[in-house]
Parts: sequence; structure tokens; C-alpha cells
Amino acid sequence: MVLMGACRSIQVGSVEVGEEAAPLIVPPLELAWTHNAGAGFGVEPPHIRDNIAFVGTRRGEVIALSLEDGQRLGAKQFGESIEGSPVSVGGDLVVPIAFGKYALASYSVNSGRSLWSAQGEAVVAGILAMDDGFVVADAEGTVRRYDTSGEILWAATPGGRVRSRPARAGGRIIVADENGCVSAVAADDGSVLWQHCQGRPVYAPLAMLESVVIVPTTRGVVEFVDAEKGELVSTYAVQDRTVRFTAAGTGGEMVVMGTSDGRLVALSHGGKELLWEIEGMDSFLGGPLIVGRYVYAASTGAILYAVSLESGSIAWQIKLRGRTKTGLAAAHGKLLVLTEPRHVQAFRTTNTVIKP
Amino acid sequence: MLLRVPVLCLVVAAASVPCASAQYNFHFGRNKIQYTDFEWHVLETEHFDVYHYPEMRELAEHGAAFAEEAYKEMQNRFLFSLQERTPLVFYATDLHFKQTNITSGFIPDGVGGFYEFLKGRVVIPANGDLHRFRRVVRHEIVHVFTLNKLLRVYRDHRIVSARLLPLWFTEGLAEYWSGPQDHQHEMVMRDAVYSNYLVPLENIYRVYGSFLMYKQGEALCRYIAETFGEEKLLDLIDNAWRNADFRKVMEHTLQEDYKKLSADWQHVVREDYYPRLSKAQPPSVSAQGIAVRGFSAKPAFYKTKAGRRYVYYVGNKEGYTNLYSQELDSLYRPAGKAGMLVRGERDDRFEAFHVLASRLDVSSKGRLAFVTKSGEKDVIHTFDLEANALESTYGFDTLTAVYSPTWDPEGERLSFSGINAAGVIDLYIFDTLTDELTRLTTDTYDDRDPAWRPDGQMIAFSSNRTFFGEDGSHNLFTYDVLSGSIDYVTQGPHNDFSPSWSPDGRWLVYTSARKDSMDRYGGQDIYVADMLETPPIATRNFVRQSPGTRYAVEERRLTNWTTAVFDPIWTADDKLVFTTFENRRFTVRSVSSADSLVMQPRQTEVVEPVSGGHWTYPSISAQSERRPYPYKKQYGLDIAQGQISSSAFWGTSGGAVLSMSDLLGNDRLYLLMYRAADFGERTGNFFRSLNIHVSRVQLHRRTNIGYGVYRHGGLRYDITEPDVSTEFPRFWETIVGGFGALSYPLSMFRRIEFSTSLAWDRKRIPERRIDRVAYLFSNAASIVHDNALFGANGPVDGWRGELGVAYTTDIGNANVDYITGSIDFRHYLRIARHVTFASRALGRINHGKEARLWFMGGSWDLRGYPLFDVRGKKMWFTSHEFRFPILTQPALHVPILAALGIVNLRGALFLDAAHAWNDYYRQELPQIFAGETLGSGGLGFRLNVLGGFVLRYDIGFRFRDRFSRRDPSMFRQFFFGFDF
Repeated sequence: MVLMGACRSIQVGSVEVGEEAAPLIVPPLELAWTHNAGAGFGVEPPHIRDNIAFVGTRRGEVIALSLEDGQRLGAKQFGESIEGSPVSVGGDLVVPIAFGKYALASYSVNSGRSLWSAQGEAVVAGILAMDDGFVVADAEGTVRRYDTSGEILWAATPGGRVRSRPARAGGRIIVADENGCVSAVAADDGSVLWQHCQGRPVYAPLAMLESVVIVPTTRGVVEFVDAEKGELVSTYAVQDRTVRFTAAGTGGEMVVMGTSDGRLVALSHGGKELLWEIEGMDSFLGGPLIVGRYVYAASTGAILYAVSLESGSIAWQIKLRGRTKTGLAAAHGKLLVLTEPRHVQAFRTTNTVIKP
Repeated sequence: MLLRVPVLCLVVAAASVPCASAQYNFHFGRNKIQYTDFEWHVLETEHFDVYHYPEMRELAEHGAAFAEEAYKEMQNRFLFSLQERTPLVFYATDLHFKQTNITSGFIPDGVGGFYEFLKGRVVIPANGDLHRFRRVVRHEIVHVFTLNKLLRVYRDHRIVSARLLPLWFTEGLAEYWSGPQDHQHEMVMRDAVYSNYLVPLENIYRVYGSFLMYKQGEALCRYIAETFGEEKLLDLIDNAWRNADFRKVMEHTLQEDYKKLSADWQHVVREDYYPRLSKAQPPSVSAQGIAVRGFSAKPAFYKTKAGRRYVYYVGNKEGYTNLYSQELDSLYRPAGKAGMLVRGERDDRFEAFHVLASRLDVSSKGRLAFVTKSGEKDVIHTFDLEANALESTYGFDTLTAVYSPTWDPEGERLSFSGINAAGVIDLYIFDTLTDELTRLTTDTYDDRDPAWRPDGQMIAFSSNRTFFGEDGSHNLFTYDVLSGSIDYVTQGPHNDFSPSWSPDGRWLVYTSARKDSMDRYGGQDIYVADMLETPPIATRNFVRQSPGTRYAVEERRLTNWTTAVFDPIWTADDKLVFTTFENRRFTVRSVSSADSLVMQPRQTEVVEPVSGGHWTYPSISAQSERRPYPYKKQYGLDIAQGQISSSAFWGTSGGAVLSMSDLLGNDRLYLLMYRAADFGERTGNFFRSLNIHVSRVQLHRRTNIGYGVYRHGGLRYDITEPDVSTEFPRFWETIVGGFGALSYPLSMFRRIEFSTSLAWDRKRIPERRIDRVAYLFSNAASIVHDNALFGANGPVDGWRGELGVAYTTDIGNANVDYITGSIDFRHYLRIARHVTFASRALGRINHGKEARLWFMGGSWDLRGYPLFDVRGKKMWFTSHEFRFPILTQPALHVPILAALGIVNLRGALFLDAAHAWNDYYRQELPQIFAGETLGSGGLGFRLNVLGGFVLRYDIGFRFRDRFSRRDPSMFRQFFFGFDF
């Protein structure tokens, strides 16, 4: 599968996915492998396609790693910094570039060739991948929908600068900006459908829970907004209004979020009910991830936690190589954690044999 | 002469070892004295190692709690956790803090603490006010997070950069995130707006490092947070990697043109303050000036038996802080020039005044009481104003710091606030007749500024023992001398300071800064409290928590001034005398008719104090955490630097310096390795020219001790060496030995030094087949005095001198045997503020067998002659300079110079004369300029760059042969270094 490891390009042949490994990520976990990515990471979790993890670094590189053993399959330079995460669109990779000559670039991992690149305002937020293209919100607040070939289908500027990955709710694209406005634009033509402004900046990626968009703000409040009407369904707030919420991890009816003051909060029923809360941990920047009956979260205190979804008790924890400020990703029995100083660490369930 | 000597002396001088190059500035300087042998312990908390000594354990526990509390908040604000434990070094008082070896520099009054980047150490004194301590802890922890976050950002982006964020931002952020704006912030900003010196952001380098820069930085950070969002402050750090120019980073992050941002900020500040200032008046308009030149503060008034009126104050007009007296006429206008009552900062007795912290007071009998730092502690001096003589000096074993003495009506007892070894500030009474010291308060509240009521029954003071004290507010209280009860006078979220009584004892006059409805402080104005209606003392008790009886106090606001007023006193002539802050200057002023002001106040408020209000600061008990353990030295790297060079002619040379010290900076290890160039000699022996110096310096005691071993080897050139040929005066020499040195500071200004060394010395002259071995034993002693006051380019006032003797002998073969004597005296006569006449006289002698040569020449002494080329076993030298300013602020004319740190272009007219000789005074050796009286005269220019370097350019004429002839051409000499 891997044709060129550790070179300055990424080229991958046709991928045999085989049997999808069951999500056997149950604590206790053990370290499967560690890879030195050469630079730090943004907030967005790595992108996993098939059996490969694509990691964007703050040095502007995208690195392809085998989930199996952490082997570097290739790397490619895209600008000077990547904050969001690359995504797969139509079999190719689209990379958001936070600093550099280009703002977006597309790359074929099959042929190892650059397909196209687009200049413009930097893209700090992650990309929203769709079946027939993708949506990007740039640092100036312009939202663009692209088709798979990189053609712009429409552009709209519903609000201010965007650092938060948009979300999709049926025929709507939901975007939140630094000024604290959440907007819905039509996925078809970019027309603004509604706007909901509470003045609470949004830095973390949005998430959906059925028809409710979860808006983690930087002012001690999480807003739950009806994606169809733009109405505030509910809020969850902490007393300290300087607290920032991470992206939400969702599973079933549950929403789990971390906070910058070191809490993990589990909510249900559209944020109306607090199920449990754990305090006294270090800051969370990256969003937690719900896998099965556990939620995993990694803190800036360099600890990876596995918390029982049901009881809210810490089932397991391990000291990481460094602080983590990136969301978690999991697939094929591996939990990926991006840690400081510049490492990708993969964990697997102890004594679990991963099927090929 | 060993060519390597100048390099080695950088290390050797650190160990106080006599060295040829010590004829320059290395052996001068004031002394940082370790008066106290602290028994350091470590209290471990979750994120910090708290270094403290047992006497101040309770304070350390408070500090530990403050630190953890700040950590929790900063972790949230910075979205960041510290991976390393941060060392916090706490001192109980400022005077202990001044002894720290973590920084080698002297710490002036007013420094609240510092964060040292190299080892990440935070150093903070508590000094009585726990609220201030808490705020400083937070301030420094913001610095810790800022730096660590910034380095993390650089590393994430793989940027190798040592660039830090601009100081206005880091200090502004630390102030902004350490708490709400305090009354001092308001004082500075109001003054900056009113006096129109608000510095635009693009020019903020002009006030680099000043208090104004801190406060403007705080205001800028607040503006950014309020205008663009609090998140942007962190974004600025997160984006610092994008551009080396922070202005570009700001423009990117805030999406605003830098100059427009600056203009907008100024507009917003003015828009905010103009309405606040619209009805306020500047003190310079409303009040009569008494001492308006330089810095003047802390006035005290006395009318002599002869009926002459004087105001006494602490002032700094030309560099040194002194105690001045200013005679006044009946209208309180200055009558004549202010006289200097006590010269400060020049000798041990009056080492330093607490210029902003300690008031003066005059008794009814004309005894002036004032405080100075004198050695390890503060002392109270009394000065008989009628006899114009210093009377007594009182020091207290149990107290480290003392502030604001106040006389009882009889002029026999003094009340003051004092800080003990535990760092707790309380009120005391000292009886000057019986030498009895009585402690009045015994708690952790910040009790200060006592003022004895004219009837002697009551002492008013300022304290945070109020309901509002936990937030830093101070109210006024009275202490009943007979019963010991303490009662409220004022109550509220104010800062009520500096109470003083009216002559009839009815009114208490004081200053107060009060918050408005927006929770912002206004100006600090003069208030009075009507004390006539005070109910019986026994019914009102605060300290003992007994139920109190409510009573009303009427407060009257007398002034509405633009900025701040301090330390008002009500004189017998019905005048108010006080300090004001205006246009960045503290001055002493007065207003007439205090009674009229009281009868027509600007505002009146009746307060009904409620008794009670006991509260405590959070604390991490050393018992509940891991028990404190004694500090154990662990060495960490300070400096590691290497260099190597190679050339076909000079050969290969190079070396490395390694410096390590313990966490408290008390114990330092130095390793220097240096291989001198062989000058083309192909010896094939690497070690032949290898120099190694290993030394250890211990600074934790009053006596500084240094010792070490060394090996010096290499080729030497010495025209006076009797065994070498005149044409080719070179030989190989290897010295291997050890040394020991100690330096005992007699005071801050004077020390004695001793050193001894024993060395094996081998000298080889291959051309003459000479191979001589000596066992050199050398002993030296010297005394050094230095009270010189430094300007930007060198000393401008005071004097410094050094007298030394040494004896060197060969204890094995008597091949070497000589004595050394040296004297170096430098005097600086300050003619005007920026004009100094400097004189220097120097004599050196090395006499005996194989006596070493002294050297001169170059910009540092005998100008016009090549560097170090004038040599002799004996020499005298004298130099006189008339130093004058050319451009004190060249950046005003060429703004870019300020960004480069270029300040203070000065000139110097100079005249130098010297004579070096060996055995006979007139025996000429032209190769080393010996045997004739040399001289030079001309004009020099000095320019300070980055605060640490002084560029020197001299032009003039050389004179030879007892000034009998002048070289026809002018010399031009460029070098660097401070003036002598």
C-alpha cells in the first residue's frame, strides 16, 4: 500500500480496507506507537481515511501515517502552517492552509500529485466535507462551497471571521464566527437563512446532535441552537465567563465537552440536563471523543482520560508525552492523540489483537 | 604580559582575585550584602516549589495558596498548563528581598518582584500587605504563563527564535490579568491624559521600562479586550510566530492598522477621562508650591522657637535622595533655597530612604523622626531641629522594616508600623526614654501610617482590617492607647491612607481614593473626618469582636484634583501641606485656610461603621501538604558558550565558558577553558597553550568566598623580561595553581578583600635554553569604597577608591619576589544636574625580583596611546574630565535611535597625564613608553546604546616628555566602555 515513506510527497495505492475493525477501544489502553511529526498541531483532530491518518502540522506539512504501525507513508508541504485538518473529498485530500501563499490545496494521494490550489484569505478552521464537495469558512468570514474539482459554487459572508469548523444540518450549512454570531446558509446557493447572535465568540468546531447545533463559545456558555429555525433551544453555562468550551463529543443523546478550566461536562436532552461533571483537571482544548461506553479526553496537563459515559467516573488515565490541545480521533481500534512537543500517539486496547 | 589575561579576568574577577586588569572597573561597585543567613526550606504544592525560611512559614503558606489560585485562573485564560514546577522564592520583607542573589543587580525600593527567565524563578517579597503580595504573585505567574506559552507557540511552528513579546504587552497583560485596575493605575492614567503625555503605542519605547509603560500597557490590554474581545489577547501570543514585528502581529490579529489602533485607543482613553477630569483642578493651579523641583515627598512641618517655619521633606533633585529643609514665609511660600538636612545614600547610616513609604514627623519640641535603611534593617533617626544636630538612632532587634514614625504629644514616644521577620506588619510604640518597644497589633492585617492624636490618647492609622480589606481596600481606624481597643473611623471600598490630626484634635485629615458606580477609582483627594462625636471608646471594639455600638462619622472631601495627593498634614497656621503627583512628578505643596475648606467641602458623607469584618487570606497549610523540607542545593546551567577560531598565522585558538549556580544563586561554579593562539608555532602540543580555570564562589554569607584552581599556559611577550632577547622578547610560561579569596562588605559602600594563591610556574626560553621553575605564593589585601552615582555613561557624583597591597614570592627557589602596592581614587563633582567634573589619581607599584608590569593606554585611561602599550613596574596616572551633555534625548531628533536604545549623547573635555617606569624614573624604554611623562588632552563623545554599552570616541593631541612636546597630528580613538 505504501509506496513512498518519509519522502516529501504522499502517494498511496488503492487501499484494501478489508474488514472494518470493530471499535475495540475499551480501557485500559496501551500505547501502540508514537510518531514524531516534526511540529505542533492545531485544535482539529487528525483525519482518518481507510487505514491512514492524515495529520496537519503547524509547520505546514501533512503527514500520512499508517494506523497499523505508525509508519510514515509520506509527507507533503502545504504553506507554512495548518491549523485545521485535511479532509478527503472525492478520494482526494483537501488541505486548509492557515499561513502561506495559498489558502487551500487539493492533493491526490493516489497519484501523489497536487491537483489545484487556491489563493485567498487563510483558513484557520477545519473543512466541512460533503458528498459532492466541501465547504470552507476563511479567516475573513467568507464561506465558500466548492465542488470536488475545486470550483467555487457559491460564496457568502454571513458574519465575521471564522475559526470554527462549520457543520451541516440537512440543506443548511451552519457557521459560527468570532463575533458570536451563528448563521445558517443554504447549502444550495449560500443564501443566509437565519442568524443568531449572542456576542459570544466561537473558536471551537461546531457539532450536531440531530437537528440541534452545538455551539461551544469562549464565554462560559454552550449554546444549543435549532438548526432549522435558528432559535436558541437551551444553554449550558458556567459561572466564570472566561471559560472556553471545546468541541462537543456526541454519542446517542449525550454531549460531552471539555472546558478550559479543567472540567468534563456531560449533557443530555439538547443540553438541558447535566448528567455529570468532573472538575479539577487541566485545561481541555481539543474536543473529547465518545467511543462505545466511554468518552476519551486529553488535557493540556498531558493526561488522557477514559471516562465512563454512564457514571462519569474516570475509568482509566495515562500520562501522555506532552500537552494535548487537539481533538481525538479513532478508527480501526486505534485512538489517536496528538501531543506536544510534536508527536502522534496511537493507543489500543490492552492485549487486543487488531485484525488486518 | 599574558595575552590571555583580559579574558581570564572576567572569571577571575568574579572570584575577587587580584589581577592585572583589575586596574579597571572590576574591583569597584557597591556591595550586595547577605546580612541574613536564611535557613531555606521548600514547601511543595501541586504546581509550585515555594522557597521560604521558617520564620515566614505562615506567609509562605498564604503565598502558596495565592500561587495555586492564580495558576488555576491562568490555566483557564492561557488555555495552557505548565509542565515544569515553577520555583517561587518568597521573602518576608523588601529588605530581605534586596539580599537575593538570584539577580546580581541591586533592587531599588518599589520593585514588587520579578520573574527570571533563565531558570524560571519567581522572586517576590511580601512586605506586610498581603493583598499586594497576592497581586504580585498573580502578576508574576502571568509572566510565567506568557513566556511558556510563547515558547510553546514557537516550538509548535518550529521557529527558532529568541524574540520576546514587547515589554508593554507582557507587563500590561500581567497587570491587566492580575486584578482590576487599582488607584495607582488611575492616578497615572489621569495624569497622563490631563498633562498630555499619553504616549502613542508606536512611540511607547520612549517610556520603556517605566511605571507609565506598565500602566499604559495595562490600559492598552484592557482596550484590546473590551474592543476586540478578551480572546484577542491570547490570540496575540498565539500569532506571535507569524512575524518578528509585533506590530504586524497586532495588525493581523486585530485586523486593524497599527497607527489607527493607537489613535483609537488614545481617543477612547481621552473620551473616558475627559469627563472625569472636567471638574477637577490640577494641584499646580490650586495649591502653593513648596518643593516643586525633582522628586519631593513626605512633608513634615515645624515652627521653630524663633518663629521660623520650615517644611522638611525627602527629595531627590540630582540623583541622591536626601532630607531637605525649606523655610517658608508666612504665606507658605519658599523663602530662599532648600537646605540639605541629611545627605542620603552615601554612607552606611543613611543608606536609603523609603521615599514613597515612610512619613516624617516633628515633635512639639522640634525633634524630627525619620527612617532610613541602615545595613540589615531600618532604623529611626531623630534630629534636633533647634540644635540642627542628629540626636539618636534607634534600631529594633525584632523588626526588619520600619515605616512612618509619629511622635506622642510629649515628644518622648514614637509610634510606627514595623515588619518583623515573619513579614507581618503591625503597629508599635517605642519609648525613647526607656528603650521599651510595645507591640500594639498582632495580626496579618496591613496596619500603617499611624498618627498620634494631640491629646496623646489615640492613634489613628490606616488598615485593611475592614469588611472591604480582602479586596485591597484600606480604611482608617483608631487605636486607644489606654485600652488597646481599635475602632473604625471610615468604612467602605476605599483606599484611605495617611491620617493626620488637626492641631486641635477634632479633625482627621487623610487621603482617599474611592470607586465610582463603574467600580473605577477616581483621583486620590484630601478628606477630613470629624472626630468630635466619637462615643466612648470602650463601647466600640473591633479586634476583640465584641459587639460594637454604631456611631456616625462625617467625612468631608476637601479637594477634587486631577490625580493624587499624599500625606497631608494640618499645620498650626491652618494650612494643609502635602505631596501631589502631577505631570509625572511628586511635589510638596500647600493650601491655605484648612478650616475654610472643611467648612465648605466639595462633598460630605456620613458613615455609620459596623463593627466586625474579620476575614483571612487563603492559605495552603504546610501540615496538610507535604511537610516543608530543607533546601538542598542543585546546580543548574546559567551560561554555556563556546568559540573557536583558526588562521594560518595566529594558529588555532578558542574556548568555552560554563557557568552553573544553585536555585538561589548563592553558590556558583565557573569553568573556563581557553586555548591561546600559538602565533604560528607548530608545537604539536595541544595542552601547551591550554588555559583552564575552575572556580567556586559562595555568596550566601556576608563574607563572600571564592576558590579554585587554574592552569595558564602559552607564549608570552615581555620586553622587560631580563632573560629574553631584546629583538625577540618571547618565552613560554606555564602556571598551575590554586587560589582562595574572600570579600567582606563593611557596608553597602565599603569592603575589604583578601586573596591568596599558590602556583607552580615554569618559564622556558628555548633560544637561550632557560628552563626556570618557581613556586609562587601570593597574598593580597585591599579596601574598596564606592558610593558613586551612575548616569547613563558612567559615574556622575560621589567617589570611589581602592587601596591594595600584595606580596608575591617564590617559596621554592627565590626566583620571584616582589611586592605590590596600588591606589586608585576617583572623585565626581556634580556641578549641575548634567555636568560633572571627574578626577582620577592612580598609583601602582610592583617592586622586586621578576615583578610583573602594569599597563595603561587606550580609551579607558591614558588616551591617545595604544591599548595596554604603556607599561612599567611602577606608574602614576591622573585624569580630569569635564563631562557635559550634548543631547540627552537624541531620539527626539532621530526617533529611530530610541528603538535602538541609543540615549544620552555626552561630551567630555579631558586631560590625562601618566608616567610608567621600571627601576629608574627617567630610564626610557620607548617600546613600552616607559621613562617619560606622557599626556593627552582633547574632546570625547559618549553614546549609550541599549543601556549597557557606551560607545566612546576621543580626539585630541598626545604630549610627550613631560608635556614639553606635542605630537603634530591629532589622535582619534574609538572604543567602548563606561567613563571612569
